[in-house]
Amino acid sequence: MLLLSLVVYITAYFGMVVSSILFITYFANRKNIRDPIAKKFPFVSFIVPVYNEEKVIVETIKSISAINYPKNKYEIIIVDDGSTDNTYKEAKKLESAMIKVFRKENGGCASALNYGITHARGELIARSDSDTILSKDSLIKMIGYFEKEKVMAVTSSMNVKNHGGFIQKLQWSEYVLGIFLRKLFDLNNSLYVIPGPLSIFRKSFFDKYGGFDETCVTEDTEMGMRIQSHDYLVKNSLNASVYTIIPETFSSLLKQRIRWYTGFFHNSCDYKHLYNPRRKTNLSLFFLPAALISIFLSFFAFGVFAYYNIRGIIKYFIKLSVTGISFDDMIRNFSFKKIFELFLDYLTSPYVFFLVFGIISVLILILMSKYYSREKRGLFSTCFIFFIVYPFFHVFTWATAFIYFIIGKKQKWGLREYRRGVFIS
Amino acid sequence: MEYLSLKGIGERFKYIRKLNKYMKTIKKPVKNFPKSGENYDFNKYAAAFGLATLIFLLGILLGNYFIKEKISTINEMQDAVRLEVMSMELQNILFQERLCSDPIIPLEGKLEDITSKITLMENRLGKDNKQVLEIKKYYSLIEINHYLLMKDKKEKCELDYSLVLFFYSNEDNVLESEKQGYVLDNLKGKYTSEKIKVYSFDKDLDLDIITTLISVYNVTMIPTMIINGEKLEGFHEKDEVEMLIV
Repeated sequence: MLLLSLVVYITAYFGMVVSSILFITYFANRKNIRDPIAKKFPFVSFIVPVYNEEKVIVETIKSISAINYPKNKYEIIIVDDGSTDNTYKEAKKLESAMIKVFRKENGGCASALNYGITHARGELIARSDSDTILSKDSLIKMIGYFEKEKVMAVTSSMNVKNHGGFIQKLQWSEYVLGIFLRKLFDLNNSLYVIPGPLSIFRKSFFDKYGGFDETCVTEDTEMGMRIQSHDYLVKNSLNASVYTIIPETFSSLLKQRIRWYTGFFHNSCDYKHLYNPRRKTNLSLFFLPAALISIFLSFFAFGVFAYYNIRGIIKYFIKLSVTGISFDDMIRNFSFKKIFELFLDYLTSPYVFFLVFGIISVLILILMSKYYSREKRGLFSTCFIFFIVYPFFHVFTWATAFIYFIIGKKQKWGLREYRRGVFIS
Repeated sequence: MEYLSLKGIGERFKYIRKLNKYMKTIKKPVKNFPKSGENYDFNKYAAAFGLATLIFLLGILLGNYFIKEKISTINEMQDAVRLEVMSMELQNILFQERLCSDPIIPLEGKLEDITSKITLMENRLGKDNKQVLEIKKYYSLIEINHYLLMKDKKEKCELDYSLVLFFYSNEDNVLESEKQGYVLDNLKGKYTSEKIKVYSFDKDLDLDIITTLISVYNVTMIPTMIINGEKLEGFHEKDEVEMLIV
């Protein structure tokens, strides 16, 4: 019982410190949370790496062509990363002065992006994915940030296009939550992931410090950490909505998550100096260490929780083994009074305050995201699934990723999958 | 491919160099401390830790309040059980006079109620808790009282129900005891209290009357059941017990 209390108290206190910092950040900056209005319109090169996307490529190109931006101020570079279907042919049909289509041997997302950068003539490089739909004003909302010299990258507000099934609903809340969370990270200059669906970079950074890391499975985190470690800024636009397609099967979701999370551990090793508190930035003092601590605390809390609950489950199975499964018995034992008493027992547990506090904090973040990103779809079911199933999923994926990282299992890309998503630790 | 369409080694070489510029020159600084600490605001962290501590203390206070509330309900329960034992004794005397004429079985419902409360207390406070052990002693007294009354009633009025004495332990052979308990619970639910009455005793409870009971029935093993005077030692399957009861 003592162990249980200790773990609950440590986790709760940690959660409260994190919520307080986010809360204070919001109240100190609530006036400048909106995107700056763009005064200049620099030339932007969109780079879209594609692999076997013949069905969506035309739609993707059309979505980018339709954005609100001076037509002579941007170009679209499609890099076909050695597709085996008709992607190249389909894209080639739309080729024009503004749309350029290239083909190279298969080499991965990062290599396709680097290839695109060598052909880009823009001052800014916008990377986008083939399964992303951009809102019309997304680019113009993000451009304003580049008027500050130190800004090297700007991320967008990433939402989900296919929110239908259970697996998608499990992730949707996390994406929505990420929208506002990313802004709060940005306000602390602590954004260290630059996700794929739409983010804009200054080309001069690539010229000076190199392109995307082709040896790394999470080139988006690597790039974020690299920009941070050179003491430049990564900003986030709350209003630049982009809608991306997320994995729809459990196995693809699992693969994606494990790839992201092992990538995070590897990036953390490569950039371990970012964790040095002597840097005296919010990122080094708080946000990166907190990300790591939260992972290990969640393992610990889950372990204790499982230990106390698994005993109950084992007892129940022992009971079934001697009495047999009987439907009559279940009905006899079922009573609303019993359920009410059990509920009351949970409700008056000394830890319930911390649980309620945690749930409310996360709900506030989700509602803030909904408000700022003008999300119209109902979020009730996804929140419900999120609170009940996500903790198990979270611990399972992080634990697997951590084990893979420790034993040094190589993360395979499989067939090039350019799907990217939010990354919250 | 663009590379293949280039003419001459010179042009191809130039192209490769251009590509390599982006591939091979990733610069990962080993140590790079920003010169100014402009990003970091001490006051914000101080305020955040202060706020967190405040909320945390509030949570702990609330938790303590809930624990106190629970203990007081348990105390009330204990008092109620004490009262029950006394009234039970009196009722016992009253019932002796008109044992067969009255169809009501005294305190049957109360007994069930106290059982579930004790289970709840065991779950909340642990099985070794002093208060739990204390209340279990009272409960055992009521049980014995009730058992003697029902035994008397059964013989004198020639009624057809089974009386089961169940000796268990939370210390040795716990699994077998638990399993036997589940079987008896199941049967109790199936046949209702008109057909079967189960009285459970914790052998390790420091109570003289239980020691006496153990020596009267010569209980040497845990778990042991006395079903209508017949002794069953060790764990017995549901079907076996059911045969003896019906």
